[in-house]
Amino acid sequence: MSDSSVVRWQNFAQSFRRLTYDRMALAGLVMLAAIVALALLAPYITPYPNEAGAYANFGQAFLSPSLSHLFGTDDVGRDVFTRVIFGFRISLFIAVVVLIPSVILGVTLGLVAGYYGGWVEALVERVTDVFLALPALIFALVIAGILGPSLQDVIIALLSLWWNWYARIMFTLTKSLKNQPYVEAARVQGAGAFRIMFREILPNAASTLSAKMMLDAGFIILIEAGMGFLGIGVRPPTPDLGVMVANGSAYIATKWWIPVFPSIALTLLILAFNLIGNGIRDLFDVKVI
Amino acid sequence: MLPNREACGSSDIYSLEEVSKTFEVKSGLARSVRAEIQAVSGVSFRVRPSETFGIIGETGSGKTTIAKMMLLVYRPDTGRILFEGEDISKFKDAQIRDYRRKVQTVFQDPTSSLNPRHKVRDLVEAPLKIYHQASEGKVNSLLKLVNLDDSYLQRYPHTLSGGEKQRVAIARALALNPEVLILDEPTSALDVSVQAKIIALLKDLKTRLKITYVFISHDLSLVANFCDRTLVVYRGKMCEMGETGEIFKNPLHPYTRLLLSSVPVVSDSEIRVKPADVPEEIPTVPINGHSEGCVFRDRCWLREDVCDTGPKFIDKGKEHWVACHFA
Repeated sequence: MSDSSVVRWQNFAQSFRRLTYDRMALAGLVMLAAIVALALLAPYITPYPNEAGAYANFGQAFLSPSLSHLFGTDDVGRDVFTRVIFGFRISLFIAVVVLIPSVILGVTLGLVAGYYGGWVEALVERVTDVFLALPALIFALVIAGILGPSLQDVIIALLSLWWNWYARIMFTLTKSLKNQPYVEAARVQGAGAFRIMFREILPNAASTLSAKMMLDAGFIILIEAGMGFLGIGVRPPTPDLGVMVANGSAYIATKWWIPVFPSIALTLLILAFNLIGNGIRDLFDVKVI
Repeated sequence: MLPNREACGSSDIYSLEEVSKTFEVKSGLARSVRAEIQAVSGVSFRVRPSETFGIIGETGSGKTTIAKMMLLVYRPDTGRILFEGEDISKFKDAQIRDYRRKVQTVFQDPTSSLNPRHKVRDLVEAPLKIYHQASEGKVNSLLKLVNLDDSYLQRYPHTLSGGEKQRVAIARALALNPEVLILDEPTSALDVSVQAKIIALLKDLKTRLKITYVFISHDLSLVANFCDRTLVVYRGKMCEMGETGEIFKNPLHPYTRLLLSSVPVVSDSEIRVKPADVPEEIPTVPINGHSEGCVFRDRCWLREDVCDTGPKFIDKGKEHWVACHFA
């Protein structure tokens, strides 16, 4: 067992090394690593960790960028840099919390539907049809209307929509992969359905799925920020990049650093995911649906 | 009258009785049946223990469909396939599992029949894991059996040559000590020089392991070289069956003679083996009406009106069976 896990780690390390040969993907990886490090170590990096959330000190409001306040301070005197790196935490948290369950649920349902066909296929297809017909932002508005705007309604709204994409992609992939001769070979050898789905089909879908996940992570972060901007997502004073852009936009002409630095941060984060996603796509030559 | 009556009964590994399979071509919104393709029709033969039984025919003649029915991939529409006296289509789950262990297969194209995401070790170990027989060193000894060394264990299929891949596929098929190996054109995707090595390997394995082979091919010289008995199929129907040597020396069916005459030859001694009566060019005549006639009559130079009614598959002596009015 330990032997095969070593092998698996070597495979991953090998793919990862090949990914770093792609300069753009490498840039994305470096950016993402830097952002993750900033987010994880946020309280130790900034000298003002208590200024991230509910805090006001009007004596130091609207300070322009300087060595003591790299990105300046906002309208209530909070350090913008501090809020940006704490904001990364929310963005990354949303991406992980939405993606991981979506992938697990969607991939399993898509595999089962594509492999068995028949009424299972019809059921999964119809249910995903319904969910995919709902636009994410409008759906989130409705959820926010019911539950009141919070981080929770962003997660509920995105989760209930996102797994459908993975169910669809995995369904399509399974439909074509299950007719591969190696799948037939496994069946003739006596392999059961579970083994065929998860050992024979799923590994061949992994590259498409991981490219899609990276591109989706950026997209989810963007939607979450958009919801924060519209006031239906995370509420102030939580340090959320979308909310920071929304509140800061009033000062764009005079105190530009308040909205601009969170915007740049958001852009870089999404760009990092997209560069990695494109790199994976090129590496494995997969088509992302 | 039917070849089922040939030789003895229950000692046969396989006995196919009047097996037919029709595929429906569906199209349109309502998925209505547009056409029916008779892939295999009325095929009966027996496979004896530890013989090499060849099935030969051109592309689309139904040889792979026969193999897939024997492998329980398709179910025959009519007829029965008996394995050691038992009808395989009546098997329950536990029996199917047991059957799959006893009957393994090697596919035509090793590139597509080996999962590209698995290493050689995982590929060969897979059947062992399915049947909980994985043990230390088993994979190594299987690779040794097909003349591959341990350095291949950690390699992916795409880093192997065609011949090496097919060796891995053979090692995988042998993992569970099967009684029967169904070889569906195992060499047709390989270079000629590699073909010879794989055939030599299969022959060697046969003498060592006493496996029964069902060998499907469109290559006559391979069949002549490899098989004890041979069945010639054309459009899903049996044309001729018998000892391979007898069929090649004395081909009775015009289709068999056509096949023999179409083998490219390089020397005079080979030309002498070719049947003399096959014309250079044979005009194809469309068949109208009479679907039960001889399937080969559209291309046959011996064709007469009697061919519109099906010739029976009969024993011409020395267990040499043929379906032709003029044989």
